[in-house]
Amino acid sequence: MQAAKSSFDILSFVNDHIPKPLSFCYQCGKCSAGCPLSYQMDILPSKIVRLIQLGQKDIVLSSTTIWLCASCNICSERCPRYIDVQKIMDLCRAISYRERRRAAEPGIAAFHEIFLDTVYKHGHMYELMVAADLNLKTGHPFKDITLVPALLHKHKLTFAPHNMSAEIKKSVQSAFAFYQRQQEDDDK
Amino acid sequence: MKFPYYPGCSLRTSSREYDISVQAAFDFLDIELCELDDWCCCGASSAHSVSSFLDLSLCAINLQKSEAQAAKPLIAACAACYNRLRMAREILAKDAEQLDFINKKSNLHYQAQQPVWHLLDLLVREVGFEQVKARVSKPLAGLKVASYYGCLLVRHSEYVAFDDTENPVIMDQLMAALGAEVIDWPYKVECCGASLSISKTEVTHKLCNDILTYATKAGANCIVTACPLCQTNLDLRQEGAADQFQGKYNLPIYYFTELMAVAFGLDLRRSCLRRHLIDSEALLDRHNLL
Repeated sequence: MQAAKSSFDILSFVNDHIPKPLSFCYQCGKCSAGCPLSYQMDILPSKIVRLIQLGQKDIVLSSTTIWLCASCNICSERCPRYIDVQKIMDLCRAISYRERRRAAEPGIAAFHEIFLDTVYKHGHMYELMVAADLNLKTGHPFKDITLVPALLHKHKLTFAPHNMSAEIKKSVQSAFAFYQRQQEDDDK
Repeated sequence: MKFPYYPGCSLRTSSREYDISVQAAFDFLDIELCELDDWCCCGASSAHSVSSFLDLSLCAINLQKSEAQAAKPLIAACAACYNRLRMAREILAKDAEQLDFINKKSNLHYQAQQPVWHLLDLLVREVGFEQVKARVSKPLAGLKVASYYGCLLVRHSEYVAFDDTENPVIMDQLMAALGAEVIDWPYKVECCGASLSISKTEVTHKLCNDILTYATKAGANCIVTACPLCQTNLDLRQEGAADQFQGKYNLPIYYFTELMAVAFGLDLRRSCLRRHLIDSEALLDRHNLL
């Protein structure tokens, strides 16, 4: 399942994309302390930073941490050394998708792809499709089904997807086309 | 006053009541929010989780549209949309090389000039609390409001903050101007779980249980929000959270614009309040506010 190529150095890659170098981190733990999902993660955010410093790409990319991150930005906000920890989580997810690795939280990894697929097809996120598709892909076809009567009653379900204009469609498809090429390009 | 307006996907679907109350409340204050003649999803948290390029591009498509449409700042209602659009604008305004790259690869000609504001920021800059207070005909007496800001209105502060990052007060001040009792509490900017509500629901149950429990302990009888996902998580998932954690709370979750509309004497019972899953009318009826 793992791509054979792409043996790039995760530390260099991360350092190229964040404002302050990872060597700035002195393991104070404020990121882990503030993280609302740390209670559920197998490796704490501060430990992920340490593992990247040590070039431990496989351990980092096999963690539940990078998927459970809710992108709340508390880690980056609280870091006294201005390390953009949230961006590091983004970068790790991006590498994982690009290398087609099996995510430690497959439902969460699938969610982002399904969400973006509906945006590609319709211009707007298509809620019903995201929920239904995710339920099927994760083997829980009836998840949240007990909410459906209330949602219908409250007119919260939109059955038809959005129709985007030709102009927006062109722009959206251009953006996705390049993104797809980026995913296939192992040298980048 | 007219401003270009970006509603975001959920304001046209499951969080329609936010859009309806935004239009009603701001129209009452003589601010016209003109929706962009066309727009696409900003990418929310999924785009940046997968590709920085896609995140910036999807935002640039909308920002370019807005630049062409009006000179005034683009106004966003959803905290996530606000966060992504603002971040894209701030990043691309400072990085000409990256702006050029995005424009080339996505066939755009975005300039990164026009600012991006959230509705609350617009309210403070263009209206002010004194003006809001002057237009109140039904002061929200009896409401003990815990203002919940969530994450994306306040972080990363260097890009998006228009209020204090750890203890923001704009919504609290708005509630005070509307005549409600403001509850001070420690969970103003704690995460609700965002999109994990769909992909890992038990996490959202835990985080929302914490928020709802602390709001109740602090003495609140309702919570007010400025983000459709926060509102959905605290409202739609409230029963699930209570089940999973034996939570003892029953808090209506309002959009700040819904409470503005109530205080202005506008009738949004059917179009907005009835769309919440947790009964949001009883509290207001008890205090003769509807």
